[in-house]
Amino acid sequence: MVGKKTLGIMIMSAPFGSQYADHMCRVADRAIDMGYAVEVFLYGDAVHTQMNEQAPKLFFNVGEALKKLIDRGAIVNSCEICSVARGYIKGEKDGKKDYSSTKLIEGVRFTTIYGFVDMLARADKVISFGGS
Amino acid sequence: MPRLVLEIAHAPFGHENAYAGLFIAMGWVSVGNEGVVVLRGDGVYAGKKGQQDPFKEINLPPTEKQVRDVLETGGRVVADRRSLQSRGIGEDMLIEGVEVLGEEIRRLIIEQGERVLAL
Amino acid sequence: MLIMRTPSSDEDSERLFGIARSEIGHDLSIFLLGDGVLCARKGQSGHAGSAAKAALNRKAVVRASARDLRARGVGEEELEPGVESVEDLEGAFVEEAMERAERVFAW
Repeated sequence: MVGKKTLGIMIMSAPFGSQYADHMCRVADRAIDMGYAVEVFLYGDAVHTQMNEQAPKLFFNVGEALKKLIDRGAIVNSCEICSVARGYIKGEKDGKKDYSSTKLIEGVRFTTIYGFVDMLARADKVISFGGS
Repeated sequence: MPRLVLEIAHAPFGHENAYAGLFIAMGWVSVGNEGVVVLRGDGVYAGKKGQQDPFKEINLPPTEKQVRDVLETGGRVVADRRSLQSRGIGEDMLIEGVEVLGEEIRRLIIEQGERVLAL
Repeated sequence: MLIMRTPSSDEDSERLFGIARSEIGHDLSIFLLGDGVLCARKGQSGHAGSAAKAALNRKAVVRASARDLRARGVGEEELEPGVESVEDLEGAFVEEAMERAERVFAW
């Protein structure tokens, strides 16, 4: 069986300060609608997208959108060292080789730069958001 | 393997982008992939040699070392000629091995950019 | 090509639209999203000025997000002739990127 084509996404900017995270979520959501697999890499300040319980009163809720993407099958990987730097990771990896964190939207996973490099090579197309 | 073009347009230190971009570039070329880093706008400062231990001075990692590492690992680093000229940066001020290109950068991005990341 | 902002300088304009202005000979589709839709306004003399026009002159297809145009109060009469206002810009971009484009750039 031929697998789905994969859209790889890298994002570098945090939610709310700019619209890039909104755009990323909307593009990823449409890609899933259209039958593509989606893999997201949160890099730099974009790791703040993974924070649970985001509750903007007026702005697009990036946290809810990211959760919806995960629920719909998107793979969301987050830069491990960026997350350590910003306080999302405390303690040791668990038995599943993942870190426990109470601050994360469920389903977000940490990865090294080599995890991203692997996705970059594997995805059919890759786009970057918010780096420029 | 696809070829990567990684474009950096921010100066090192003031923003994370240069460091973060070179970190990806190093990861990419270190596993044998073909990649080129394009320095444009203030990003050309990442290609300037002579950083004086920024880790000690301002607690930030030296991007000069990252550029040298990418070059030594087989990656290319290209700086935009107009961006250099407008900042008064001569080719002699660049890290050895950094190439200078003008409008050929457009063609480079199109031809080599099977993956393009803009930082 | 997906553009989500306006250029901040002539140098930045080259970065965003240099490929669109070049005569390299490839077909080009430009998708303007978020603040990027402001590049499609005609009559500008700033850095974004003539960006869409130059791309259209080069026979690029230029599409702008209708939702983002409305949100910014930009009417269709303000657009460079030839720019298409599209409701599902994200869907159109994904289809082009995944099924037709050889290269995908995003700024």
